[in-house]
Amino acid sequence: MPLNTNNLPTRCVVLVPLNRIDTAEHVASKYELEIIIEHHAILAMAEICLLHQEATSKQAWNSEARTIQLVLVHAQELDGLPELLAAVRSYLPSVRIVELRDGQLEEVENHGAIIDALDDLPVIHTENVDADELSMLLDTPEGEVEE
Amino acid sequence: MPSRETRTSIIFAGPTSDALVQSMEQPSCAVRTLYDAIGELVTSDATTLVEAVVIDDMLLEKNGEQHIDAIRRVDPTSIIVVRGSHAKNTGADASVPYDCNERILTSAIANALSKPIDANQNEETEKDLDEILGLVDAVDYVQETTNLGDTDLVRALMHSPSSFKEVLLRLLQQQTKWSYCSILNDTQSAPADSITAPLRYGHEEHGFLAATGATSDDITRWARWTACWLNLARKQRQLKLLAYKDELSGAWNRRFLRTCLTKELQIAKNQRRPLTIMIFDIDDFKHYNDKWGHDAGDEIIREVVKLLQSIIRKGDHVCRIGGDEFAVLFCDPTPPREPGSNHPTTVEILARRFREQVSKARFPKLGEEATGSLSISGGLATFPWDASDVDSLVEKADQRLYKSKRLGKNSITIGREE
Repeated sequence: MPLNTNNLPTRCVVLVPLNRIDTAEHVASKYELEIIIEHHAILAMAEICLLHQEATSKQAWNSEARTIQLVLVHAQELDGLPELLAAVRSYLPSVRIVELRDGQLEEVENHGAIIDALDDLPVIHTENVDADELSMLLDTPEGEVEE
Repeated sequence: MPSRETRTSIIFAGPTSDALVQSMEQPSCAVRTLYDAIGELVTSDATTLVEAVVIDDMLLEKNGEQHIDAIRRVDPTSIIVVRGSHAKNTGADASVPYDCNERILTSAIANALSKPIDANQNEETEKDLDEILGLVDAVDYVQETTNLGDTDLVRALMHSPSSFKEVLLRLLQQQTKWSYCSILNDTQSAPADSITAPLRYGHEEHGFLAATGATSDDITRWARWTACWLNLARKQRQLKLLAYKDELSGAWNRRFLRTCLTKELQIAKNQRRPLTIMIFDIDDFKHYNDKWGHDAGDEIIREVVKLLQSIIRKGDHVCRIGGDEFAVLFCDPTPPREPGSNHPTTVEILARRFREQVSKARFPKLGEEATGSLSISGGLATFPWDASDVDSLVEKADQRLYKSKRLGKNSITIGREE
């Protein structure tokens, strides 16, 4: 997947368990990433926020902003991952979230968005149904209902 | 960075009663997780600056320190208040009961705001001053455990101040044969079968001496003797601080930098760890002094040091080494800090953040028109890449500071390109 849209190295926060650092360093070298390594999801959130702030400030001065990514390397083993992903998507939607899968970095699908969309279910107001109508509807044998 | 006085809103993280949020006079918002609280902190705009983050202690059950650290990284000056009974050892600024009301919470935030930002840090560095400076290693000191006398107290005071109280109590117990004795902050924590006497020397208070098996006369006599020694220890510590602290800013002074750098460099060599020094000064400081007067200049110095102390890590040291010239020693004495972290990169991030924070800072004495007009220029040098002795390391950082000046100021030269 293309990681970079300009010639500057992509700046990343890599969330990786302590015992998987070698993998994270290998990924950084393979994809030419400028990385900040964190082993706690909450500290990764803080670092990604700071990178985002810096990028926003640079953009305001018309400097070329670098792509910012949150890279997950075996991050499922760490606490707080769902909360981290939800917060990044909610507050920093421009940050790309990628994950190491079978040696390749792939964008993490936003399954959470579908669930979020169900948070506020639409309320449909219908006309009142009286007791006779209800009884008729319930007693109608299957197959006899007219569409 | 805006001063604390301009901050207005409060973020509640975790399950919070609507009544409490709504009862706050300041604008407040409630979020479910600390991740969301950090998101709110980062996205808050200039009109809704965050004064405090109030955290339900349930959110700190696991990795509480990291959670607090994360908030401080994003906003070093917002007040962190923990709600509930598990606030200890989290590093929060204040704690309140879970069922607190608006008045208690507001008062806790106000108390925390009135403390200097670096209050905790100062307490710790004062306690460990001898260890930081390596003064305790100057003499090969072996602590006696039996047949103690006054000489052992003097030796402990000179060579191992952190164990002074322990030696003092051991000597007391050997002399008196009391089954228990202790120095306490208040009488309530004394064991039920003990008696207590205040430890006073002149106007100086040192807590209470508690002992089991002592008579009233005995404990009064020994309390006077103990207070005398405690006062000597306190005076000695105060003198050391006077020798190594800068009076105006509260930062360490040039003497401290030299002593500490020599010691830290030796440790870095032995442990094969990098050690970085940053030297910086305030651009056109003379102009500020001339235009707004020396009071304003002094305030800038103090505010810059406060700002820096709120950004650096525990173990790093801020020193004022000249009029408007400062040095930061990035020591970080708990190796390995993070096996995956790259030391110089981490330091560069801190230096960059600091420069950005200074450029946003407000200095009330300079008036509104001066907001955001301050900038710094600095240089970083790291052992072993740039130099391997104290003088060369300082000189290298100094050269880079002047390079930053030549390049148009408001920058920090790291020196990798060289």
